[in-house]
Amino acid sequence: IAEITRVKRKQITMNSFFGQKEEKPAGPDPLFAATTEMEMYTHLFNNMAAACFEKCSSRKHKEPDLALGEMSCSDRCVSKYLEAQEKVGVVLQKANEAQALQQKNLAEMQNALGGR
Amino acid sequence: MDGVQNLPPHVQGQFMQNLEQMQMKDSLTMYNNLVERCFNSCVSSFRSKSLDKYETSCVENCASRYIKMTQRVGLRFAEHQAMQQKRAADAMGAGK
Repeated sequence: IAEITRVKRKQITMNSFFGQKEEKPAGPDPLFAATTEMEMYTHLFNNMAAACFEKCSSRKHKEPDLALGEMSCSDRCVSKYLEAQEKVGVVLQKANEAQALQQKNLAEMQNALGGR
Repeated sequence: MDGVQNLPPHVQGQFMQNLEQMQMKDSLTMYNNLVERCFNSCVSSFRSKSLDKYETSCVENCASRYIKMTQRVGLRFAEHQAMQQKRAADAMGAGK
């Protein structure tokens, strides 16, 4: 029972962090899964830092330090970016499910026609 | 980050090695991107071969600000991850 709950927990949290943007790894090669997950987080972080820098810091670069407004802007930027990531993940997941359903229906239809 | 935390021990060494390589590549990529970004935002005239005083300070400030902002973003990101993990753990605990 402990094994099952551990696997289930991993599955569910993988869905929430990992499965929303990418497919679940078909065969459980843990090294590939971990490496890919790490890459995903790296890309996420880089894109987030770049986007927030573009949106929040002024172009003039007169000072080597961030102003107070820029700092609070970047805090809010991070929070909004991560929320946007979740919402996009949900939309993608729904689209994937719809497509899978459509393909299943198509395959069933073809089987039915081929059986005649 | 459960894919990472639930790695079996015999591949953890390999994973750490992969991680180091990724980090090295990533820091070089970040360096190049930073140079391009600061060049694009600071340098716009080509009257001379070397950077003038304004452009030099602009580029240096740009780099310093980007690094500070990256650090701040990383901090908030880690906080957000921790909160999310706590929420997931609570949900698991409540579900039992």
